[in-house]
Amino acid sequence: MSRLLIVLACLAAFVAAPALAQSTPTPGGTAIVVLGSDPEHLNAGISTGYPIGAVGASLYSALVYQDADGVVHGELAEGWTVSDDNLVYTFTLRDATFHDGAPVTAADVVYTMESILGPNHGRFQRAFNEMASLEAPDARTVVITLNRPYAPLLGLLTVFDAPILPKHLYEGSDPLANPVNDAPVGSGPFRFVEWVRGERVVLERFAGYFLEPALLDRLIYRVVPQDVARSTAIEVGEADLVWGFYMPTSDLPRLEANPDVAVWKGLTIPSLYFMFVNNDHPQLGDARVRQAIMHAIDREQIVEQAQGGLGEVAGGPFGAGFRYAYSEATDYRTLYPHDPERARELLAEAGVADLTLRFVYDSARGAFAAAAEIMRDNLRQVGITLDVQPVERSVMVERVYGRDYDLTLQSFTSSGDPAIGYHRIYLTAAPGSNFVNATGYANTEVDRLLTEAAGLADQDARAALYAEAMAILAADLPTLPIFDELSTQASTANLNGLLQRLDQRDGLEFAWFGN
Amino acid sequence: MAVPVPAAARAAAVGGLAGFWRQFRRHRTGVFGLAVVVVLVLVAVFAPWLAPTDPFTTSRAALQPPGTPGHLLGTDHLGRDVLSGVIWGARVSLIVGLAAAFTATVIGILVGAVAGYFGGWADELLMRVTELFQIIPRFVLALIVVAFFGSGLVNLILVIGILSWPQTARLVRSQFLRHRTLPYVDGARVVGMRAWRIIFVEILPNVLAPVIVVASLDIAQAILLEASLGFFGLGDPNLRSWGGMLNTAQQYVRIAWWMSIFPGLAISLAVLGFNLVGDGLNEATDPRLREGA
Amino acid sequence: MSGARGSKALGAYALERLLNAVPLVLGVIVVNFLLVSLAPGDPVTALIGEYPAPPDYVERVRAQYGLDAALPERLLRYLGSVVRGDLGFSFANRQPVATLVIERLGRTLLLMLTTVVFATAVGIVLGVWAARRPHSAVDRGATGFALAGYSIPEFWLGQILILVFAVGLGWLPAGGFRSIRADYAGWAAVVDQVRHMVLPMLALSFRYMAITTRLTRASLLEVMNADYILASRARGLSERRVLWEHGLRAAALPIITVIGYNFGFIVAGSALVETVFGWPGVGRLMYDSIFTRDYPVLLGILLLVSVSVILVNLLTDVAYALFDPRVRY
Repeated sequence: MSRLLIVLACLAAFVAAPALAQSTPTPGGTAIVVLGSDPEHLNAGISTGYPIGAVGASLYSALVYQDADGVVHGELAEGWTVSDDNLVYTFTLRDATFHDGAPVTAADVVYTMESILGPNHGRFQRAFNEMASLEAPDARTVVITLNRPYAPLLGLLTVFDAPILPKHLYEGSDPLANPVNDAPVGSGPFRFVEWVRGERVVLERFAGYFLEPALLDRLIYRVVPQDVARSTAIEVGEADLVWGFYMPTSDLPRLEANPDVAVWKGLTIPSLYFMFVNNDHPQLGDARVRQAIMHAIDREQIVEQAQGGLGEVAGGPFGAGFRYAYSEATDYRTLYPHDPERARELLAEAGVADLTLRFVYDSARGAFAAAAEIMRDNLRQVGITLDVQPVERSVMVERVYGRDYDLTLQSFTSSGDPAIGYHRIYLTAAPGSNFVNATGYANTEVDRLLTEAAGLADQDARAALYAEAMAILAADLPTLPIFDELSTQASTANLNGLLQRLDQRDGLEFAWFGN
Repeated sequence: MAVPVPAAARAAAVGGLAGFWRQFRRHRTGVFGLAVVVVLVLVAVFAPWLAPTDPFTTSRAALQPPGTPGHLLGTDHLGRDVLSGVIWGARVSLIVGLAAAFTATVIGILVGAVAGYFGGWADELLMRVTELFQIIPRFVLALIVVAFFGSGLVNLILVIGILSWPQTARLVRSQFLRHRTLPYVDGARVVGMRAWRIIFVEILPNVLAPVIVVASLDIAQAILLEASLGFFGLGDPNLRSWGGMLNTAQQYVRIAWWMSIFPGLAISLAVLGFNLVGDGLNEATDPRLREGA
Repeated sequence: MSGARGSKALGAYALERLLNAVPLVLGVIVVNFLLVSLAPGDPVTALIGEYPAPPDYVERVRAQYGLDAALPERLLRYLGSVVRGDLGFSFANRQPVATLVIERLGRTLLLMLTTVVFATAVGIVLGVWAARRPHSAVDRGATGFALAGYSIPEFWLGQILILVFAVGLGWLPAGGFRSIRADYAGWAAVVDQVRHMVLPMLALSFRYMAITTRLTRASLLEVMNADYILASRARGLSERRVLWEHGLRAAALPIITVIGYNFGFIVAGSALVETVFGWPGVGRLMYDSIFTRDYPVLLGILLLVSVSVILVNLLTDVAYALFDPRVRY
């Protein structure tokens, strides 16, 4: 008996030893993270740019964060209460300090939101516009009062939308031109060391961080502009982490085969790729023509070849990102499978023949060019000719939102809540307003349902409203959702503790090197 | 333009078309170039019959290596046949090359003839403009114009043509400067012939030989420029061109070398062909070089 | 010609040429400015994120970057600031254009100068070899190389070099300026830098090398039958010395010309090669600026390129005059 126990104990120790070594986070080391382009500056409060957000996530902290499942937790906020009418949010702050030693107070939060984020941060503005007042009754309390219930509020208070900046360094200056933007001071787990433009941004562990201090000594963001060189850097061990945003999908199979590289794929921030259809076009105004195009396009081929497999064919007008905004009854994969024969029938019914359509997209998006070639071939099979027009981005924005196009490919993200990014695609809008409804689709019932859903916090209640809206949208098909993008990242195999947050760029304070 | 401009050339010295051909034939490289050009033209003209598939036909069989049944040169990332792309691409290159060189030659002749024949302030002004065009590298300017104003076929031809004329203009000007004082021009003036007639009917035919040499080298440069723009993703989006094929090949160079090798070879051959023809023409029409070689 | 008078006249000539260049530079600025300003598309769109921004915010950004004024006013303002040596402020990078360009310029110059030196040296050697025995196998080889080199696009050559030397053989890095874990110091850093430079330099050299080879051969062949060369031979000088000393001196002129007047090509070529190899130089900056609509940076680079082409042409002319007393100035 006792001998058996000893044997078992030895075995357990033998088996557990390496596992233990793996699971005990060890501090120390420098991780090199790849950026595809130089950040323009390092003030995450005035820009929604991807590289600025990447550095900002480690440099700044915010009232809340979203865990890997998208659930909101307090960061600078110890906790918060919401009034019964869903209008007043009261946050209590933790004891935190900025990297220069000054305390983070409610005044910093209110100042940042009012004077820096409100006027300058594209995404935060959506929340800011819903706010009636912002107050700091004492140094530890922030009160946000809304004009009307707005469910996405908390999702817009993370470090990507509302990083808190030090009031004492910004007050009285133009936040866009303040020199602190190039040598930033935040209250996040890492603090700023140096920035060599076009080459690297160096951060180091901030010992005075108000939560568990970071494990890595240093974090270096290296700028590698050539996409092919980025995957090479990971392969040869010259970098430790590259996010899917910066990775050529064609290199993925090779990276996956490399035992020194860990590749991850999954759905994080919902990101949906759409074909917008100009509903004002004489033929495209007919729902049957739009349905025909949907049947004609081989979305699986697009995902497989243009997207390198990093996607899932979209199942509805809001994609797969939100459980409550999806319904099996209106799944586009079953309603509109790839079926050229059916497409030809629908076109014949609508009396459309020899259609030539202008297909506009942002020329800087390589995956769009590949998708366009597949669509050209697909649509040719049903008698529609595509005049492919890749244009420079600002021209694309003018043409698409000015409705001077027939078809266009666009991608939209909606972090935290479909009301943040996806509602605007279907809500009635005037031509000429950028980044909203570009199709010209106008349906008062859809407007009502979506507006109501945005004000509700209860997800089941929202699901019912979305189901109703989706039934209308599935028949009208104002946009043709193509696929939900899957995120990916590649890292050196011994870098642990990644992907602790909804956004891959966040939570690098948990990363550590094993053996 | 890097190849030295031919010195004085007298079409008369060549002795008619047959004589010219006799001279040209002596330069083996020139004949080889001509053969390449002829093949290129044939491929471009008969593309629909030569290509196994339409250049835009995609398939689920992506990135098949050369030798795959039905795909002699393999397929690209969208399952398109590389051989068909190379064959159809010949059309784009040839059309752009010929049309742009033609545009450049016409502008160059007009500018050079006016500057050289009239001289004075017109010459001064036109030569300043010519200089302006020569200062900013052609490729850089073409890249910006095409990126901002669109990269359709007509745009490509116009942009490349409009940026390529200074060489011809300078050549034509120097020829006109020489010819305008020659007795036959004086004679024409004395009998009251109008200036434009003297320029186009009397002088121009006498200076055309070196212009043609430059034009054939211009074709090579135009093909190269179009391919470079295509490589930057700025080719005609509704045509499959060699440069465009190389643009997408960039991402796949490690796993699908055939996407890069064949269009690149096609560009190099086409450019080589026209360069050799230009060289051959130069030597055949330039008696001085003929003696030296 | 006496030395003193010659250099004085040469100085005056250079000065005159320099003065002539002023209107040319002005012309270049105006043409570039109009080109970039008349292009469709609104640079303000690139400055604002992907979110629906309120119109007053858009107007504020527009005013902030001085994009709200009329075209002639903007042109005058731009000319004024260029004269004062201020190239403007980059929209996208929120940094002065001059700082941004100068930072990248060193890397591009490093690549370009190495290329010019390497290509010229190899080109001359090949050209001399070929000219030594015209129509021999060596000559055929060198001539063939020159013809091919002149026809192969450098960006494709770059891809092939990556394929062979980086992917296939694994000898050299596929791109970048230096190793990402750049903890090298001293010699190791130099070696690392050189390893990154070999492939882009080769890709960029080919065309240039071809031109130099061709020209060296042609000039030598022309000169080798000249009287003074024949006389040197008769005096019993070794063929090698005749070739290298007398021949090359005569060939120097066209070679200088080729280097000078092809400078623009190298600039354009480096833009392509920098893109293929991810070399963070001016060419790459220009490419990025086109797609971010960063007008001030684009204009600054165009101006820089134009001025350097003018200067190199001027230097070429001066060098030409120095080497060849027959040139009147």
